[in-house]
Amino acid sequence: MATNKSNTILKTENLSIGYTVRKKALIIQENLNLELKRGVLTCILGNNGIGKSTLLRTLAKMQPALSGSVLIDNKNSDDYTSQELSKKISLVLTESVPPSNLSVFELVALGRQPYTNWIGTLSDIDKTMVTKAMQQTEITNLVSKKIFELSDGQKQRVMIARALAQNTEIIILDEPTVHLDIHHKIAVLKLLKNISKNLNKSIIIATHEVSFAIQLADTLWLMHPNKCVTGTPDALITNKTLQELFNSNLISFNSNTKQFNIKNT
Amino acid sequence: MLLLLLVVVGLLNLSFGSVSIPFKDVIYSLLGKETLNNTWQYIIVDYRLPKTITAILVGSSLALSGLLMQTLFRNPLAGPFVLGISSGASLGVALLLLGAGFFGGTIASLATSDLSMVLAASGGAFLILLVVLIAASKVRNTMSILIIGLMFGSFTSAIISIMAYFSTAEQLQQFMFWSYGSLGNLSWQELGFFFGIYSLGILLIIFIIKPLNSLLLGENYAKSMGVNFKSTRTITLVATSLLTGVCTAFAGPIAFIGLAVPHLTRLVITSSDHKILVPAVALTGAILMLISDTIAQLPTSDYTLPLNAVTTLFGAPIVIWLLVRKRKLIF
Repeated sequence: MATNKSNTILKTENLSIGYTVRKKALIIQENLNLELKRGVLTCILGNNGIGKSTLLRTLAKMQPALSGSVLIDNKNSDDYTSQELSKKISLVLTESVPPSNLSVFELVALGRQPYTNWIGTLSDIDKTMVTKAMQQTEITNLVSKKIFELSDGQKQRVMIARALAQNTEIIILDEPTVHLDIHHKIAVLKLLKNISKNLNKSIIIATHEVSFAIQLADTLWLMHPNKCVTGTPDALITNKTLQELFNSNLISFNSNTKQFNIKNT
Repeated sequence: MLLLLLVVVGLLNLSFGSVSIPFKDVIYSLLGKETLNNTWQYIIVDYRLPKTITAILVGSSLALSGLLMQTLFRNPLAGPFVLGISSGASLGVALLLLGAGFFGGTIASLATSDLSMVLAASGGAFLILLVVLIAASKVRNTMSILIIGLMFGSFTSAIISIMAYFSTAEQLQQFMFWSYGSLGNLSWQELGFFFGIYSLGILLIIFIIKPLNSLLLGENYAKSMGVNFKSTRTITLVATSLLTGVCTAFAGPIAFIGLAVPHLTRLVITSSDHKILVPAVALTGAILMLISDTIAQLPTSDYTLPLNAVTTLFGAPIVIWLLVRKRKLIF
């Protein structure tokens, strides 16, 4: 490639994730060697409790890795200060935002905090970035609404706009569609797809929306107990890894329609 | 707007007291001009003016402490009094004033010094705040945190009553008067000391305005935006215990200002931006404290009500109203 920037933005090397409970390591997943390319939409799929959120939290350095390392732009994430890291990774979390008098504009503008001065004054560049993020997520009509006046779908768009305003190469989202109806689910996922394609952002989504993920994602990370298999959706269907994702006698997978169905027994 | 109101209420506060002084002469004595009666000038400059300034400092300190606690704990019912911080400060002072019975003369001789009062009160406040915070990191449920705070409040008052039981009548009287809350009796020198601590607290708050804003989204989002949560939390705690501690040392444990003022302010100015909230809350706190003090003076009479009674009389209904109001509580 002509650019000297490597095409890989995030990489894990022999990463073990989990928790330390009373000085004993509780390993949830180990030996993870994952790779995230620039401008790629990745969905993490797996059962409840398999470690999706734990993986996301470890990648974002919100909890320490048990062993191994996370490399962001070929640099160990432990070597980043929290300020530097906040210019690389932005988050959209499952937790609800406490009710406040913040307007939509103010909330999106909080995404500029890594770039503003000590008291948080917005420069013209910051304001432009905020406006742009709001245009990209189609929420300009909400600009002066208060957060507590928004619907769940609108709130999710606002949080994505905030992540965009933070202007990071990686955006990590934990179940961004969880409280939404099917229309808004697809709307949010398509929005994320467009963002990754048009703005060349690497997006990681942990989700339970298997059938949408198969249709939209460039890459899937399938989390099985004790291993994580990666690949394009089609490759994973061909080599039958996707079929084994939910080790359950209630579901069957139809490779033609790329859908999980209820098994008739 | 608020600033103008503060000046008006401040002048009103200066004009009322057990000795009635014409408004014109109040202004004259402030400007250093001759008044009809020399004692009037003395009363205004050496008694009422320090009291008015104390009211402004105490009101804004407690209100700001409440604001910081509400943002840090993301809990609308947090405040120096509810979380047991005031009780912690009381415990510190009680140890100092009543502890002589336990520890002998060395501490008793220290009790007269302002610095030791402030240190004791701030130390007590900081200690309780720290314990509540540790408890808060263990239990995520905000309701439990408040209950833990209230429990600490009862716990400290239990210790205080035990100490009261063993102390002399004279010590007890001193402590009881202190606990009623009073803004008077501060010399200019003491006021200077108060102002020094106050400025330090305010300075700390100004430095954390930006992280406080991102904390509105919760701890995790704040961290993801590059906020050093631990140091922000420490600064918040230090600022709160300094401000609450110094107020409690000089004016006694004053209830409800810390809890109610931030909410009242948010109703008037619908903003959550701490760049606007911090000065607005400080001014509103000062204004309400001046009004409470003016009421406590019972204008045109010789009696003075305990300040705590007045703040509670208007503070408690506000809190009840906040709780029963159907709309969600906002920050």
